[in-house]
Amino acid sequence: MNTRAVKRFARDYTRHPWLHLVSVMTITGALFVLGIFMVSYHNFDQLAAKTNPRVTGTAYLVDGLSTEKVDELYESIVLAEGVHKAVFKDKKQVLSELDSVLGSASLASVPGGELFPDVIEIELKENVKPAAVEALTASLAQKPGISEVDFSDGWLAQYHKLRGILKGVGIAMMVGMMIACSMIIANFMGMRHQSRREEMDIVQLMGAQRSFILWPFLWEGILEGLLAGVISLAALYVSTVALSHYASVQWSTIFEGHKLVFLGPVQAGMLGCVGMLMALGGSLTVFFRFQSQSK
Amino acid sequence: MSSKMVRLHRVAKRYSSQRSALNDVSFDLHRGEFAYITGGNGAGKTTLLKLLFAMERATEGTILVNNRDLSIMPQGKVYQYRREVGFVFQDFKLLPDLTIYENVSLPLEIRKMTRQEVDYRVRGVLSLVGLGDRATDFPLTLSGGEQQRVAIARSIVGKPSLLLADEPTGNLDSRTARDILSLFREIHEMGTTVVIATHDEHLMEEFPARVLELHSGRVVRDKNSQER
Repeated sequence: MNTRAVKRFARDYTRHPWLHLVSVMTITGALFVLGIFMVSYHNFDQLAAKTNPRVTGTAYLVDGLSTEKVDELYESIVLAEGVHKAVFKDKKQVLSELDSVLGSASLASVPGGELFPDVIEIELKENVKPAAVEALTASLAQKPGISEVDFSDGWLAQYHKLRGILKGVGIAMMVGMMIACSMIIANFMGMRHQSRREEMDIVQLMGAQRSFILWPFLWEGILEGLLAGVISLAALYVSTVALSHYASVQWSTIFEGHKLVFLGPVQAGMLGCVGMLMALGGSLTVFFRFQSQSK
Repeated sequence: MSSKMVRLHRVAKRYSSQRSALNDVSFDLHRGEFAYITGGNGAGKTTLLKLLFAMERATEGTILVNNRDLSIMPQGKVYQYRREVGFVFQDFKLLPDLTIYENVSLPLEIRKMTRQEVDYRVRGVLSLVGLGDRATDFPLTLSGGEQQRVAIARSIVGKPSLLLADEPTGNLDSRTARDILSLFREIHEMGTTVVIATHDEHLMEEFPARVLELHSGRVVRDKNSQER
């Protein structure tokens, strides 16, 4: 560790505590706003995952299959990729279910009602992709003994499309926020380091190498970013808990038991790293701007 | 090793085709010599010192300092060279946020010297310039003369073989200017080659030494103290 550079940074910190405090608070503010976006997106994603219903479908069997053949088909469907469970229903069972739904308007009494085939009802696993449903449909349709396969998957493609769009918009907004925050931080640090311009020039005239000037800037960026990351995460956590409590009381009907969740460890770590990177980026931008201007 | 510390041969510095700061300047300075560079405003004194300190490069000619050719010195080696040469600026160039002690110790910090060595050297030069008791003060609490003493202390703390000073008494009253020049004399007597750019004729008479007079970028007079 470059202790001399840390000491020089610490010396500057103790001589201008307010200036550094303002700097840390600026980064904290930027990270907090970014964190709100991240928490919002994270919660939306969680909510979307919860509401993700399973795709169901029906395989219509050819009339007159032997019990062994039906068992064989059932086994092959249950073992197929993406299938959560399958249930065999013969035509009587199907008609009785229809009876219970339609009552007096039952198809059993309608001419042609006897044409209903035996079926295997299939329920797919969660988060199955439209392409997988398509592949499964094609493979089942080819099996001898199955006359037709029908999955209610039209909505699934729409659902995935919408989720993809929202995800893209969310990520784009976060990247935009990050760039905007970086620029704010770089400009703020630029203003602050303007006072150091002379110092850099003088130190260079005394024979300082680039690294001697660069290191305090790097440490400043790292430590201020780290500090801002910790403060903003703490503030974000407190805000999330408070808002979750408020929402559960005030908007219980809307949220229906869904509690606001805080960022996971990876996401929280990412936010901290983003803080450090933004502060570091700000420091380096200023440093290289000065370097290019000085002789 | 050659006894010549500085050798300039047909040095020219042009900023544009119309504006020439130095023209065909040639002279030698011996190790341990004390010299004034004098001349009116715009004569080229500061440009000459900037060339000697590698702050700028000559357009033509060669400049050898300690047998090192500054005209072909790579930019990456300039920082090493500057550690061997002291420079005193007219406006002192002290860092207001650092104490006197910290300002003076900066060149040694750059060289990554140990704390003990830094302390020994800084206290030594501060007592030499008469500011041993002001180590913890900040530059803005000092008078102009005291600030210039700090600047001199900072320039000699690294024990340079060549000390350059650009109008070091320009901002000081005559009495303080005399004190500062006495200090340069003292430093010279310790074996350092000293080159001072000044237009103060009284000081040059009071502390006689070799005088290189510039006019429109050319050396028009090179007079040793014995000739005066």
